[in-house]
Amino acid sequence: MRDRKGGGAVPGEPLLDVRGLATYFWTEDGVVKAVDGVSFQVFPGERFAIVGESGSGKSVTALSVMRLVDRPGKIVAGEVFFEGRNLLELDEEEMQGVRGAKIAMVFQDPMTSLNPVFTVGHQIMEAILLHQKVSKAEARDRAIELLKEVGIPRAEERIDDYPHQFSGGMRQRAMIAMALSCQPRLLIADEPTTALDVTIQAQILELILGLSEERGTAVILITHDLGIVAGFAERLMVMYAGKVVESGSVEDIYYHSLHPYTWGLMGSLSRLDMKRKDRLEPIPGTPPSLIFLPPGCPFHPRCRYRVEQCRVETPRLLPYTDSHWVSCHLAGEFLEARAGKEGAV
Amino acid sequence: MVEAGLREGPYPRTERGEEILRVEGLVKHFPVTRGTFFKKVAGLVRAVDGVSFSVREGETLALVGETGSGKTTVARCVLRLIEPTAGRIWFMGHEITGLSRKELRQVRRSMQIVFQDPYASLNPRMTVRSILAEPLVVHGLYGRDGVKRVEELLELVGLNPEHANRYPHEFSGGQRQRIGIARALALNPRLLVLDEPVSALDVSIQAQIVNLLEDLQARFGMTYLLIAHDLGVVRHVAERVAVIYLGKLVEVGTREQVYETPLHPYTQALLSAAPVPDPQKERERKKKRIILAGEVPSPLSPPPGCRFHTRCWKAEALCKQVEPPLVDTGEGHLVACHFPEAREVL
Repeated sequence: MRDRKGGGAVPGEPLLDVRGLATYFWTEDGVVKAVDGVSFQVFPGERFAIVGESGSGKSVTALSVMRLVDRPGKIVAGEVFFEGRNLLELDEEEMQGVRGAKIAMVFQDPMTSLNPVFTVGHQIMEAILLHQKVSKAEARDRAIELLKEVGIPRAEERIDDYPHQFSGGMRQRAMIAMALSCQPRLLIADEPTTALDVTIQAQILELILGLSEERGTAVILITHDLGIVAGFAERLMVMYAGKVVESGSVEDIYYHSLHPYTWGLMGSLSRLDMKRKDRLEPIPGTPPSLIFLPPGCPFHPRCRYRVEQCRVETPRLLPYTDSHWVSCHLAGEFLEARAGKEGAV
Repeated sequence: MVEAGLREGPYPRTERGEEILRVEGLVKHFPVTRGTFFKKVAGLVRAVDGVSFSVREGETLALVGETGSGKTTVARCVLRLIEPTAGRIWFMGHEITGLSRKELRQVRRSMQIVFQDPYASLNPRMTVRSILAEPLVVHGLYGRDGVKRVEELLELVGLNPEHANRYPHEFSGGQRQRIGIARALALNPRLLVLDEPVSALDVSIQAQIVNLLEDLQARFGMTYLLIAHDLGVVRHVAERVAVIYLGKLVEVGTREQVYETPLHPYTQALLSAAPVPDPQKERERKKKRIILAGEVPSPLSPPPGCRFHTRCWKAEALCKQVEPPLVDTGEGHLVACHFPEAREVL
């Protein structure tokens, strides 16, 4: 199952199966519908990406899966099946057995997710001792091994360093070591390289990719960067205003996208690998307020293909091929138009 | 229309293509101090260590580098927001290093800056109107036409003039960046320093701001010094590119020279490491990707010889001892490397 590439029919049982997830935040200004009816599946060993701009709900989706949403936020609907159990029905103690041990998470800013007053080694050992029945000495050996595995030079010495003695890239490596300490089946990486420079970003992505392949760990990569997804993920979903607008294999989305928002994202990119085109084609306007969502399709105010139906009826996420799901009233027409064009050629 | 009501700045306009900014041997060292009462200088952060370049009227020069490369420090020295430790800067033929504060004020009418963070660079207690009026008032140019000028500026950057009485928090990130640009344009500057103008914005908004900056440049013939780390944006916007590593320029050339035939190993590594939004291409690129070992050394004690030698796969004994000068390899393509060799990496 692990060598499944890209699209095609999906074999086997999903590792993670999220159905109709909705997470709202109660603020002074009103109810923020950060995640509003999100469904997706991640298969064992798979690398899946959630792509979206700020406020699209991609991070809240991940936090909801981990059940780390705090007041004033609340998961209001949906199911999150992991290895067949609905995580939303577990009590806090059971959930702690999942968090860190079976599903681990790496965050954007490693400086704020590491505790500055404890050594790096102490924090990794803590994670090991919490979930595994080993002695302190064994945990320390294991932590050194992990630091070596994530490419920290002189791990035997560096294990006693404090986080501030590590560079940004090394801190992120330490976070990954900690996340992998209990051999989770799923690693959620929330913008793991956004704070890093491009040469360090390449190192970290290579590291996560290699570890995922070696260990068969499934990875959910959350990012706004369509460039890093292209080289990292097998499948992805694109989110906008708390909803999934499109999901499929990287080929489906990068070469055969059927959603105007995805086209808009691609048209907005200044490409490093292409000679300058005349003008970028940005998406007009700004994303909607998540408190006062427009009726119908949340993207319709910025969409140049909108028809009357888009203003009144919210489109559902529907399959157009085995692997490619789209939430747009016009997706069928786009598909036909493309088939017509290809037929003519 | 926009020029209405504004006198020319202190310097007459030059022809497009003439040198507007010249920086020679710019050095900026920041002392690192120890102790609270008896401060002792414990070391020097060599943020910028001998940078020379020039910018021609009407062009966009991008200064590209990673965190700590010194690119923002160069920009701040050019505007003399901080004092350079050494080096000389000419703006429109006049040397501006050594000018008094009063003299500088005249120069600053013609060179303005757009900051990276549209949240931090606008005073939250001021209305947009007063934010845009401030530079005019400071330079005694508000006068009778001030109100009209503010409305003009808002229109120019694609904002509704009726929103002039709102506060920054009522605008989105992209709109705030437009306000920052309008403020920079208020005095009709000739040179705009753009310090990471789009990196805090979402992709769909970035493209709007990039287009706006290009439209404004086409309309007013402004010169841009763009500070950036996003190599995609730079390729789109800049005509010439200067790559900076640990306080020194390693390569300078036209967009075509730097992207199509990069000569310096660091430039090659940067271009090779940056991902491209195309799965098939990425699969191919990944096989050939140059992944640099290690991290950027501390600017407190930069390596001797070539500063890049600790991470360079081509480094030889010479590189550890002798610092390579920035030399022209022909047609204005400059490189600071003992063993330059063109290599296609995109």
